[in-house]
Amino acid sequence: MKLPYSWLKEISGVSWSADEAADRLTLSGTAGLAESHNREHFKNVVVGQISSLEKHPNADKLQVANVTTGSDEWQIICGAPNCEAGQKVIVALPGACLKGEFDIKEIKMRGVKSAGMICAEDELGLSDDHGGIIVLDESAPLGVDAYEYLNLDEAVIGFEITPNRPDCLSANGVARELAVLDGRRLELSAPAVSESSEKASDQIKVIIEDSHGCPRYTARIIKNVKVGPSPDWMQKRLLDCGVRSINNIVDISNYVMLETNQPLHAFDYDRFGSREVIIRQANDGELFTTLDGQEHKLDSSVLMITNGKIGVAAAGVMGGLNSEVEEGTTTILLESAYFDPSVIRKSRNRLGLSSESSYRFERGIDPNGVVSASDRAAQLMAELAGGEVLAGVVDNIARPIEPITVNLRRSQVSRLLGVDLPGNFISETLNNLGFDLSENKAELITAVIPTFRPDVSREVDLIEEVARIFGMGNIPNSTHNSGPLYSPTHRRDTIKEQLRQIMTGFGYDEMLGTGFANPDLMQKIEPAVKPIRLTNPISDDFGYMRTRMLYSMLVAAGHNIRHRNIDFKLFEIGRVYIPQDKMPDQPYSFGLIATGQSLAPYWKNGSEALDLFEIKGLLTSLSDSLSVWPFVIEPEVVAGYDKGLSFVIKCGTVRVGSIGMVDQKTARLFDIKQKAFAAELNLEIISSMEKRISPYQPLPKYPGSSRDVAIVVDNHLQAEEMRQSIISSGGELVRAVTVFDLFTGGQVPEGKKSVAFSIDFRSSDRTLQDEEVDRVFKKIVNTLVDKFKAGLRE
Amino acid sequence: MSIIKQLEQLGIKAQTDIKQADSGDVLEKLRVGLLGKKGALTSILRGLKELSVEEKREVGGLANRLKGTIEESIATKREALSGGSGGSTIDYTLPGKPHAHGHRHLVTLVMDEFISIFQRMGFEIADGPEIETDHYNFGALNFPDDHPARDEHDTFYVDGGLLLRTHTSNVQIREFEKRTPPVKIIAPGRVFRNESVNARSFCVFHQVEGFLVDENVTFGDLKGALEAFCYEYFEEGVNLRFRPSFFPFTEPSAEVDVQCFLCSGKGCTLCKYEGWLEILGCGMIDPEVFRSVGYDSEKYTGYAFGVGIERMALLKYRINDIRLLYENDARFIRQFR
Repeated sequence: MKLPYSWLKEISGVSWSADEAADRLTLSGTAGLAESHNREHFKNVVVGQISSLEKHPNADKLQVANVTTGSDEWQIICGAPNCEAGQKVIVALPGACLKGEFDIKEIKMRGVKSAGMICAEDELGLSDDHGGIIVLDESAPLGVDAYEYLNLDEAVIGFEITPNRPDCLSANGVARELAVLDGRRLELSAPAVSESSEKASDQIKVIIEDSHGCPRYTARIIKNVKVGPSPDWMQKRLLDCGVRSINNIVDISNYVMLETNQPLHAFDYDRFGSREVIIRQANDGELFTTLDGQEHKLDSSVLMITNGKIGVAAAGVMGGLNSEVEEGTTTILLESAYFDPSVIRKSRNRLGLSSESSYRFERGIDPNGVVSASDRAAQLMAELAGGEVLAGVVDNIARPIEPITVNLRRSQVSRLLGVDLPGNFISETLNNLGFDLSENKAELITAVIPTFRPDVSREVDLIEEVARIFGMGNIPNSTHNSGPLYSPTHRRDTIKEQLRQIMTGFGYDEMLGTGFANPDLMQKIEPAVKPIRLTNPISDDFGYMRTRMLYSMLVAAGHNIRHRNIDFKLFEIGRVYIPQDKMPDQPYSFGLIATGQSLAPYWKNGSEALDLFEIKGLLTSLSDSLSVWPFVIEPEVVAGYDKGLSFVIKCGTVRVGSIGMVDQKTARLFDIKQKAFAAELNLEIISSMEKRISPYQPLPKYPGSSRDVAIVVDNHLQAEEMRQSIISSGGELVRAVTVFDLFTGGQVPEGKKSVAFSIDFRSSDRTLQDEEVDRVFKKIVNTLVDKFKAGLRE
Repeated sequence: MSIIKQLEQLGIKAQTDIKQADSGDVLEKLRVGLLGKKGALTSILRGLKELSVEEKREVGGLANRLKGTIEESIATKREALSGGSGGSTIDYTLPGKPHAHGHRHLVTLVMDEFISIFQRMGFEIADGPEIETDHYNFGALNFPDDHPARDEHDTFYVDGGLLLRTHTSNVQIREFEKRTPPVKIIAPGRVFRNESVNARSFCVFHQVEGFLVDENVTFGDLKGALEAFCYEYFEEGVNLRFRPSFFPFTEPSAEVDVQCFLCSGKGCTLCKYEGWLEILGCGMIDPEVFRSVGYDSEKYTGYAFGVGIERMALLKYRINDIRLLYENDARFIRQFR
């Protein structure tokens, strides 16, 4: 919401600069920033007149205007529907830079020269309106700078009003805050309306059928109005508020709403269709066309204003096309009402519409301010539209809403804020805010809460009022020494931190997926789980929740590869979301993906392509660092991985994750055409495992010795089997067995492979003699030869 | 010639020869000729057995010193021949062996820093579900049904009536239900908002929520705690301001601005010429929240605050597009440490 500061000053009587006022408001809870239009953005923007207008020879929707700025003539092409010869307009001439970003130059449009632009409000940055070009008073002087003519150097304060403060959605409301900050209570004078002798109640009846939705409805009749443009001062003020001028009647409704916060609606009395206003819930299936031309099918959640037969307005949201004020309207039926906030919220949700009115009604306007707002509008309609105001307001109160009283114990203020406030500060502040104090004792204050403050209903709300006016910055900082003596660290948090340390240490970069997934791609990766669906997603790609970390890994990998970054290793710690009966299972999980070259190329030994063993080796380090049983892999087809290179990860007997080469067909769906390796771990399962603490092992006292053996065996035999055979046949002297070479081809026959083992021998109570080692080694070799039909390589 | 004389002459000749040597090979030959098993020194010392014990001691000492001198001279010459005191001919400008090191995500880096500060202030870490019930995300936090306060939280809903939490405040309720005061906890985590995706807003981000409930916790305590946090994270003495605001689950509520660290409050594009950067929301926990978890608000008071991680990260590194954080381009991730 924007309000010109001159207006606020006029009502509140403060004398601060706009910046200072905005600062004070901000620090008391009404966030505002003073701004004025940048003069630079209006260079070469002047008042002109359309002297003639012709159709563009080559474009149906464009017209060619000759525009005079007094001394010069300009040919300008214009596409606005409201463009007419004779109009005074605002033209941007070559050299202008609108909003500081749009340069105006002489151009050709469909073969016809155009030397500028006839401007709409949005093009000048005055409002968001692009309904047509700005049409000025006939009296506007040609050639004058638009900045001067429109008085654009005036400061306008832009506000961000929190939803609890509907009263501040108006000039009166903000002015009240300013007065309080100035140490005063703002008293607003009642508008003076001169009425005719004819009684409004003879012309209109108000019947409220839904007292829940409409606690109060007032109607006034204003006759003999002349619909026409508003005076410049009102147009200017509305423009400063970002509201487009329509005609005097609509402008007055808007103006009074901005002033008092009371949304008003002006019906054309003669087109209203009856002499009674009936407020009721819409019928199921009832059809209604709003002002904007949209037809809506309604149900009982929508509150309707009707003429007894058909709907004429969706209460508090938008009027109907059938009773709109038009150029020829002479009699106005003016509505000023209080509608229930949650009813209006439901209505506008159902209609899929939102308006300045509904915005205010759903936050809560003053139920007891409806009459004075109606008076104010009637006063202006008499003054500015020549209207004759019929006597009286037809006021139907179906459900009175009275001010409530709230008790405040003074001691609670310091208990909550931690500061003792000076003398009369509390009672004066409450009084200045418009709260009458029916009780004002040493400890207890009883405040009568005006109905324009629906946010205040409890003691704590009053404390907040006092705090924000006192200034939160003035409350001294303190320290509360309590709470637990130490804060425990949870194992899962430790594991997450360790994983980050280890993985970055191994050269992996940490990524963050969104958690969202495209349903088709997600199900390709994990067909067994139906992912959780969002009912109101942003897009298909963000339509479901991921069930596997692999999804996010592939999305990230695809992005990198598309951007020509083909060597990378990434990991993520985050959640997957698995549907269950009630609350979904949302385990923290770990995922990694690696592709391309393992290391940056190095001049000594070149680079090395990644493979499965690289990740397998990483798992060994992970389990060791996390102090759990070693992670071992077992072949099993896991969705998303290549069937021949797919494994589950086990820790002891417990399954904790999976590892493999990403299935190439799946990878291609993510634009990954190179081999990629991935692994996933369920961190909840790992966190639940007991941490292994092994006792200290004494260091060896006696030297060991080692022997190597290379054997040629059938290709299908597994190295681990042979390793286990070496351990068992070698007995207690064998301390470590390592595969140090694997070789196929060359002298090794087809279908065979050469595997080389290095075996360490050591005794804990003596230095081993060569003969003893040789004896054991021979036994080992013989066993290998027998068991695996192995040939020996020299 | 006495042995001593022979040794002296050997010493003189050795120095001359070493000086003249013009390659490592020549030097090595010299060394073998002088000090080797069959070298000059050894052959001179063969005459030692004819000497008395006293003479033997004298000659022995001299021979040892001579040996040391010659070795030293050879070593010095060798260094000179190989071109420099380092004795090295390698091209030290070649790159060293690359040791892989990865990078934490920027969000993690900022989060780690926050968590570390709050842990030092005695806060325990708690966690809660990201797919949550309306009750824990809204109802128990005093967001009435059909209230405009809910508009500030554009919410994603999932099948089955659950929602994606819009803040980590759900952890407040879940922890309050499990504990009795004092409770002093931070809840870091991921949250979701159904906002349009553009350079300035994204549908996923991270928060750290913190709260303390005990007897006699005041707004002044909240200010003290947040000042301590900001002094530690930004810099000692940084200017802060507390602006009254509105959150359904706190009363009074405030937003905290830190003076723009780029322009020191003078106004710049980073702070949009306001001089201040909004960094967090906070307040005293609303009595309605206590009522919903069965705490007695006449006995206990408490404060709560929430900081957005992404915003801090974007501000700190002046990143102009939040989407970069979730694209996971490794070249982006590697820029932060």
